Amino acid sequence: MLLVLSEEHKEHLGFLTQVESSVVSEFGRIAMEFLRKGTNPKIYEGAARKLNVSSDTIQHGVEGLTYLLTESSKLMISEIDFQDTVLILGFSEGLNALLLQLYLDNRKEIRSILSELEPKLPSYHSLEWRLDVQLASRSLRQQIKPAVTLKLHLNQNGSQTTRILQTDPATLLHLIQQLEQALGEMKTNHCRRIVRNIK
Amino acid sequence: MEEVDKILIRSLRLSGTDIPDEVQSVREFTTELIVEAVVRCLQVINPSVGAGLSHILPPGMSARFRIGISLAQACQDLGYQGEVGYQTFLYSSEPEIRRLLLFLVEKLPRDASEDAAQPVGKSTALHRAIATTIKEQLAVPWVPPTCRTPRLQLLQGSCLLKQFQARPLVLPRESDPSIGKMPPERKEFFVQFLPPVSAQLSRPACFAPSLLEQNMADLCTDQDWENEWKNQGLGSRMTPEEYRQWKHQRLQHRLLDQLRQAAPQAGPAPQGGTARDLTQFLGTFGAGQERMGALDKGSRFTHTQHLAFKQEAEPTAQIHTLPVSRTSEEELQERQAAEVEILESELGRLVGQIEEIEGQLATLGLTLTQVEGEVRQRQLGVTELEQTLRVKGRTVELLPDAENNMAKLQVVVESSAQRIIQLAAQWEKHRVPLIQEFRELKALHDSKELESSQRLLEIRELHERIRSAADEAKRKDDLYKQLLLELESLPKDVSRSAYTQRILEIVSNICKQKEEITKILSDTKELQKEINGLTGKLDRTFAVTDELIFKDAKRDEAVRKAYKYLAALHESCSQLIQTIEDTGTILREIRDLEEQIESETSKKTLNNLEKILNDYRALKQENTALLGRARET
Amino acid sequence: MELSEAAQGGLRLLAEPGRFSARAFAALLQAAFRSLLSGPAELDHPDLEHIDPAILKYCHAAATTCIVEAGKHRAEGAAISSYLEDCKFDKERMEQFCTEYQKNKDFLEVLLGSVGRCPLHVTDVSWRLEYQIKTNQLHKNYHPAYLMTLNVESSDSRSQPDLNFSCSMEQLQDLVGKLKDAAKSLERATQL
Repeated sequence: MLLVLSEEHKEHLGFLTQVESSVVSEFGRIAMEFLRKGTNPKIYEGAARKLNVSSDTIQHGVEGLTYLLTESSKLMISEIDFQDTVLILGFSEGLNALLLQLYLDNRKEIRSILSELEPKLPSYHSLEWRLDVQLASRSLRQQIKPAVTLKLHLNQNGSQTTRILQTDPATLLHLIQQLEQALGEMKTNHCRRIVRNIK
Repeated sequence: MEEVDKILIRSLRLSGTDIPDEVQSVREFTTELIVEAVVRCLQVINPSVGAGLSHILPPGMSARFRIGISLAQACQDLGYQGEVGYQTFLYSSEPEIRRLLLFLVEKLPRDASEDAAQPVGKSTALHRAIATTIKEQLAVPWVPPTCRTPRLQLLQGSCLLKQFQARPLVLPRESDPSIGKMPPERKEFFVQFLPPVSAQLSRPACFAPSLLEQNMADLCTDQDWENEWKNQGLGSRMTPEEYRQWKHQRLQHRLLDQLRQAAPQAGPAPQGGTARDLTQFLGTFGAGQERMGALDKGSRFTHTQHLAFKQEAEPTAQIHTLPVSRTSEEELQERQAAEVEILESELGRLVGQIEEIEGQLATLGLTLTQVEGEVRQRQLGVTELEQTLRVKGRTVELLPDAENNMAKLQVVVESSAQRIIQLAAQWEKHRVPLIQEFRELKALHDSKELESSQRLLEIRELHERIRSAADEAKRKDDLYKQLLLELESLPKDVSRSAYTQRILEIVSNICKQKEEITKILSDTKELQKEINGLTGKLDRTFAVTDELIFKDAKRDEAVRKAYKYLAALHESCSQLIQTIEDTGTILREIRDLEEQIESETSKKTLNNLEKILNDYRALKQENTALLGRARET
Repeated sequence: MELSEAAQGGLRLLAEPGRFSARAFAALLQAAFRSLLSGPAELDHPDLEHIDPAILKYCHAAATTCIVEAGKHRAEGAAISSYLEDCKFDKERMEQFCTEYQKNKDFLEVLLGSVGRCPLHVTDVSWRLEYQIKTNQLHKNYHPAYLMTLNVESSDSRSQPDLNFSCSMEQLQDLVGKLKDAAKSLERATQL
């Protein structure tokens, strides 16, 4: 699958042909840095001064490169497809190879960064448990009531929340049985077929 | 040996070895069984050593060999004196194994097997109870929340749980020691209006907690009272009722004092007003106290009662103040307003007048007291003057006959002095017995005081003793219950007596055997003696015969022949005896050898040798297999 | 088991045959258990009509207190009998009391055991297995995910919302492993 680039995008990327390959790889590094930590306009100005062009041009160049990388990573396009996509830009052989290398090197990381953007429910983080036995209460002495106290840590909107729960032995066994069924479901033929066929 | 084996097997079973029922003696032990028994014993004797050992014999030869070595090492570490090595376990011989097992069983902790029967500690009992409860609950199947019985709901859910919320309850007590007799109004309330305790609460869920709480609170009050009575009440030498009343009064006095101290500072109101307010307040306080005592801690009901009365009282007051005319509301209001205005103005006027008059009154009162003081002073001065006047008058009267009068006066003075002395003597006469009596009475009082305080002490001691006796009784009761429980839990095991009986039997058997042996020995000795006697007799007879015949042999040819025959006979006989003796020793030797053979065969040497050969082959095979695998990799 | 002076006094009154006939005693006993286990009960049994209502109410309170305290301490028949004996109960009434108590012991235990509080109680779990294919940010992102719902119950009458969370297969394995650990420790606790 080829990536279709808009004219504006091509124009922005066109700046890359005017600079040396070391500058392009520097741009790639900056693009990755920005993906990781967010943008920093000061760097544009510094680069603009050094290269003697407007900072807008630099920004367009870096952003264009970033967009190219994220789009291709998002769609997980193959090596050849990427090469074909870049070919349309009419860059030199060396530059193409450089971009390809940049893409292949960083594809995995970009995908993991992108995967963090998906909408999320509170997700499981960890569980602690403790075995308690209630031996007496204000209204009933000499009782024996075993219970398993659970502390469930959940990840919610980037912060951790904990819930204190309790359960009894019989329910605990029931929970384990249910959850094992859930795990076992992934190994059934039905699920395997789906996993195999949806690629 | 049978008995020994039985005891041994029983001990091993107790230590946890699973010995099949058909195995009756050590002879029938297989290698697996031996290893298991030894490991189990080691585990019981020293858990840290036993933990590393498996009681199941592994299939691999080298592993078996290793287990044998470690077992032997462990046995030696325990202090086993005999020879022990891997061969003891893997290629066992009956006596060796028996000796080893006996040693291990001896080493088993004495109480390990009796542990179950020993009185268990509270914590172990608790642990056991917890263990069984958990086991039970694990066995209970999970049931969907909607299908649960109340008991299951309690075990597997929490929606039945309610918080411990207690509300005060009113108990219709017949009489209460703290308040004395019950007034008839309260009695009527109890009889007619008070609902039963279960219906006094708005939420039935609170009922059980409220009852518990009520009971606990009452118990605490009872205990507090008892403590106080024992510590202070007894010392005051009053009856409980009197003490209560005294305490009540003292408390009221204290409060009164406190309030009196606080009142002048707080209120700028005129003094009379304060005093009235105070008495009123104290009156309500007293009433409140009474009510509090009656209806434990001012329950809701007293409040509602109170409120109801108030609400009732207010409307009636209103009705009284209102004129009984039926005018429209507006008119009424207007008239009311007008009236209020008039009344207020009048009130203001009256207040002004009152203030004015009070001012006047105060000044007048002040002057009055001043004037009264003056008058009193003047009166005092007058009486003084009168006194001096009388003395002077008298002196003037007496002046004309001065000499005579002087003497008369002297006499009068002397006589009165005499009289004073007389009176003093008389007083003294009266005083002495009185003082005596006073002292006696005082001594009596003191002794009584002493006696009463002694009694008091005794009473206190008695109280203490009562309490300690009650505690003791309770403790013993508990102990009795615990012991009863233990007795029930004790296994109805008669093995001990059976053992002793068997031991006694064995001992008697041994005694019998010993007797027999001594009998046989004495028989043998007698026989020996007889033999000796016979040989001596024979020798002597032979010597005599020999001499007789030798004497005649020189003369007679036939006798000489006879002598020769005799010699030959003697020789043959002694030869014969020798042979018999030899046969005896040989027979003995044969028996010895047979015994040896027996013991050797019991060692299963042949069997073991075959086994060793097999194992050796297996080991070799394993080695080659390992070598092959090593080469492959 | 300890009762206050007031409750003991009530029991002593209840033990007097002159005040309470055998039938009146039985009726009051029934009423006491009923008022504990099935809500407020009126003391309007015909056998109780001729007794002074104040005393009746007092004795009823004492009997219920005694029952609740016995239940709280899980007293056995013998202990209750000895206690009642101290309150001058005769043999017949003692036995009557004890049989009635034994009959209702379980209900009483449930009643008293259900006073208290505890954390949210997990009663059930539901799960859903889904296979993620793509998000608007990421295509070809294939991985399975589980959605869990823990059904919880709380002592509050207001029903607590169930607990929802998602987890990956590895996380679910972790969760199951930890729960199994807990179950294993329970097993171990049974082998003492």
